[in-house]
Amino acid sequence: MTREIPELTRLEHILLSALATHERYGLEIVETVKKAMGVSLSLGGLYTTLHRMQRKQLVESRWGETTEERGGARRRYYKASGLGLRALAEERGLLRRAWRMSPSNARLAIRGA
Amino acid sequence: MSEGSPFDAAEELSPPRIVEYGPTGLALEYKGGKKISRLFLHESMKLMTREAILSAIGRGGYVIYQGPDGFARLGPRSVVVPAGVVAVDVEHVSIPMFTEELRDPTESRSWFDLATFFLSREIREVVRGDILETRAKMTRRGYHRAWIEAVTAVELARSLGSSWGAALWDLVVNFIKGMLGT
Repeated sequence: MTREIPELTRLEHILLSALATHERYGLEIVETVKKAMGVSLSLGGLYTTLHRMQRKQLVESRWGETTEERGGARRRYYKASGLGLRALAEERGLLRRAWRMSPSNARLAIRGA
Repeated sequence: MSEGSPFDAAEELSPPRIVEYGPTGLALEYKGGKKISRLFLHESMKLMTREAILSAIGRGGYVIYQGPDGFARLGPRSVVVPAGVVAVDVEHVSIPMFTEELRDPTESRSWFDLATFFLSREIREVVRGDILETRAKMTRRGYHRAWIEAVTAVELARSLGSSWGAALWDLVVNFIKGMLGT
């Protein structure tokens, strides 16, 4: 049975992009997004969103290791699920089609802006 | 890879019921009887019955604050806030925060532990661990302790949201002032 592909929020899109090919934990996700996009995520906002995405089955997670410097708290690793990857592909396809719909001179104007 | 939902906490998030009431506080039990937690009471509430406490909390005007012994306490805002205590309105606190286990008194003695107590239950361990890991990295890189505390406070305030971020900030500023002797 094919599951309906959910629409993504902008933050979900960003997080799925960061988790599409690599399994990462919170700090790694924050650093990856910051480096790639210049966007600074709060840990609370990040994990709350990931929690919601897991309920929507867009990501999968597992508990990882703990270290002394984490005071006994374990890491939690996330990666995009099959459904999450399909949702990401769908979203990107939609954006590509929308982009092609623009007249070429408008696209040039945007690129030159 | 998935081990099922890591946050299968629906039962734990159900409203707790009070199972014990005594002079030192409230003991609460999650629905299903899995967890017993304790939230200590302000002196002025110790003679109130359990029904009176629940009714009073429902009317508002109550806050959770750090008591002189370091434990989280529930008390009337009119009594505890003028004393300059950082407090969180009960209406801003979700039920899981009410029902946290306080296994070790020392756990709530530092401002960091007190602050993370108010993070929602589902994200507390990971946020707390990531912040501690960041602090350790900054220490290794030679950052001044006051700077590390400030960075921690900013991250916590952003994670906790605006409802009591300002109160947390005051707490940290006081902590840093005390540390620097100013």
